[in-house]
Amino acid sequence: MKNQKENIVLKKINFKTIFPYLGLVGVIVFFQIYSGGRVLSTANFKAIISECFFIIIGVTGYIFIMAQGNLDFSIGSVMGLCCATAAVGAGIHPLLAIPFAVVPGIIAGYINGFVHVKLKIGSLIGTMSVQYIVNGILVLALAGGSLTAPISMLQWNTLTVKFIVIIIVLSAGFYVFRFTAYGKRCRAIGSCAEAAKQSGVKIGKLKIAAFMTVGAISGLLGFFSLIRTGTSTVLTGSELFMNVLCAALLGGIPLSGGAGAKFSSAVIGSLTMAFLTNGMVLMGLSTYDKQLIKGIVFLITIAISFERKNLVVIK
Amino acid sequence: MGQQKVLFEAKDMFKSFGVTKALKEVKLELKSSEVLGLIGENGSGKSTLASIIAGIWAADSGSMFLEGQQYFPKNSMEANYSGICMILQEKSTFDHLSAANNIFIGAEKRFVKAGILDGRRMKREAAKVLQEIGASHISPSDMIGNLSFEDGKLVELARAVSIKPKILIVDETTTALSRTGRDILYLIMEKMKKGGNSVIFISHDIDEMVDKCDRLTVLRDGNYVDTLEKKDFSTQVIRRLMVGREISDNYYRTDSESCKNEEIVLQVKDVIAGKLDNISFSLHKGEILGFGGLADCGMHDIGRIAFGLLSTDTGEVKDAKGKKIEAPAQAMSRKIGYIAKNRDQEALMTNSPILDNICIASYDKLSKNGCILPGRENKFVDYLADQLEIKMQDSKQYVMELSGGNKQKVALAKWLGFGADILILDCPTRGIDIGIKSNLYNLMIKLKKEGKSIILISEELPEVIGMSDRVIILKNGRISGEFRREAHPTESLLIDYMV
Ligand SMILES: Nc1ncnc2c1ncn2[C@@H]1O[C@H](COP(=O)(O)OP(=O)(O)OP(=O)(O)O)[C@@H](O)[C@H]1O
Ligand SMILES: [Mg+2]
Repeated sequence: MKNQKENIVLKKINFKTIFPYLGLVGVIVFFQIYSGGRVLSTANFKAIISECFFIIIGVTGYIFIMAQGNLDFSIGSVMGLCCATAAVGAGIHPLLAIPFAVVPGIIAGYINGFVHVKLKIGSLIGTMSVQYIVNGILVLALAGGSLTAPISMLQWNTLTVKFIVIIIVLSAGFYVFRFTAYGKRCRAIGSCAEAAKQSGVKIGKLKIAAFMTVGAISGLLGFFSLIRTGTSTVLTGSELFMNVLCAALLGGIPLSGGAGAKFSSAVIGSLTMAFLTNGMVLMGLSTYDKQLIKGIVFLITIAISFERKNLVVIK
Repeated sequence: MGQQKVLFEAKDMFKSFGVTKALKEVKLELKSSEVLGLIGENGSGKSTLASIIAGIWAADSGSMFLEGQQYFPKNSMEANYSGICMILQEKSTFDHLSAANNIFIGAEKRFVKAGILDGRRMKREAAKVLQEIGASHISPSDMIGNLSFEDGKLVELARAVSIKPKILIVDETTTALSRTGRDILYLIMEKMKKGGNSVIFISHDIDEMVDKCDRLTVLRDGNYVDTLEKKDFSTQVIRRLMVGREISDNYYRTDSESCKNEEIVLQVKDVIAGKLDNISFSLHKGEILGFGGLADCGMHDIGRIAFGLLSTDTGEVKDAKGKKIEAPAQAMSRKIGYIAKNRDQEALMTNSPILDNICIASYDKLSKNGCILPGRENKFVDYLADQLEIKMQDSKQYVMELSGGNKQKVALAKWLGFGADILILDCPTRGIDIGIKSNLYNLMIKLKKEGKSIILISEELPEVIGMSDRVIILKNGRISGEFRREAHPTESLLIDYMV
């Protein structure tokens, strides 16, 4: 009758739990061999961090949305728009670039949340529409050209800065996801929204909050994109959504959200994605080849993670 | 009786889930034209055994024979084809399909002609089946999601009947049904018997078992204990076999004084909402207020409005200070807790660990400077799980792996941990065994003594009478009678007010 704590539950080795780790190791080993040992070299370390940077920060914000069982298609276009607004802000004063990037991101996130929660439109359709609208605004605003940032800002784009930002965002994300009521409630919503509601979780508010978090993160990434390339174009951010979702799924975050969403997945998935992209660059693949391969990887992960929805419980 | 032939037999059945041994060398013999009761405490393995027979799980080892032939269903559809059908303990209909679609799920082929599904014929047939079992108040085109929990169960019954099974397994369904629903079920069981078919019947209500079953097989902790013939039935013996020790007869309240405290903690005024039509009542401090009525009387909506889940068309729900309650989070800030009747879909996150389910209502309390440390959560849960004797591997186990009664205990633990001053319990003893039931009643008495108030909504009149300070009977959404404890209302008197 008592808790049988003393029973040590042997973890049954389940393909699906180890898949993300296998994937990471597999990708590293594969490219290490085929690139002639260049992937794991000190010279490549900087490239990996750069590659990882956008994905890992994106996934850290995205995991809250996914834990709720939602998706946000608009992160890439929001990042693009925020990069443009950041460039405008930077024109006034370089430091203004940050709020000029983050605030529009938060607003876009709020709109996503509003459409989903108040207008009761599924997050898939809602954010997809927002994606097109934001993209449209960006294209109109840039009017076929591009915006540039003051050259002096490019010197912010250092390895140290990126490293520090990654550490800060990751630890903040980990802390909020694992140890605060907000993170726990996000997972509760994904697990069973009705039960969460009947336990006092304010579903609508939390959903909007998660969209706003992702919006803010997209904005931040817009800023970093600006100091990385110095310009804002219509293509800025166009790869973000695919990379982030792919990383999340590769890491093992289930599309249905809930208790199966683990923070470690965000890190593992991002690293896998970063090594994959970097490895392909080292092998000299063209952009189109890269897209082809990413598409295939994406499909495979979706196929595998979709089955996870049936939730084979791992004890 | 002795010459009845054996219809079904299961031998040496073993089944484990991880480290939990749910069945250990269990056997079962079912004769034709009989109702065999399967009884045992929560987690004793009844649902597991029944699910194996119905093809939902596969046994680890053991053999089964249907009419002398080796029987080994790969899934529940195959069991259906062999003439075995089960009504599950939990809701198992599809919300987004109509009643007709649910009734004929898996049998749509019957209505397909030249590749096209004849929806109208399907609805006609569905109406016929519903009519046949006496549930014609359900329309075949109703979406299941819009039906009450009980009507959903009736649709499941209709589906079972439409298969014309040789063996019907009814797992812990009666407590989800009102009187009319139960009569429908009993009639179906009677008809099965007359047609030479058999029923395996699972319930925690010993009186019901004694009344309806021809023989009783008792399980305890996954072991086969004994099978009793009708002539040997006695409540005392059955209880002893189930629990392994003597258990006292009477577990309701023994006092006959109603609560005299005048302090109002919750007030419902002129409320029209859902099925409720102009309802007013107040709940006092330290009072157990019982609600009873027929299936459609709207008593389940009482819990929903009091918890702010169902918004009122007119009228209001107010707390002690006269502040309105309009949402669950608001109700909780006034220390109100609620357990819905539909436990698996509304009261629990079955896809999450026990720990999360118990802690979710108490995150504000558990967090220190915004941080919830795992150690605090574990201590909180271990304490509650011990108190309520939740049978589980550890608190990381997912709720969906628990037996029905233990799920209910998890839901209770959530609100005990939360420290609710007002508890709204909708059919709290649904699927709970006698041991736990008496624990729950004791707990209610203890809470009452601590000055907490309880709204008890239940299909079980003896329970409502046995536990309440005041009983309110609803009929067609209106209050048709109110009785104080000292008036000693009887079951038959209350029924007069219900119909
Ligand atoms: N899917 C599962 N995974 C893990 N353990 C399970 C699973 N299903 C049942 N169990 C365990 O097997 C045991 C027997 O459960 P079962 O549901 O058969 O009990 P029961 O007799 O039907 O109880 P109740 O009266 O509460 O419905 C319990 O200890 C339960 O926790
Ligand atoms: Mg059961």
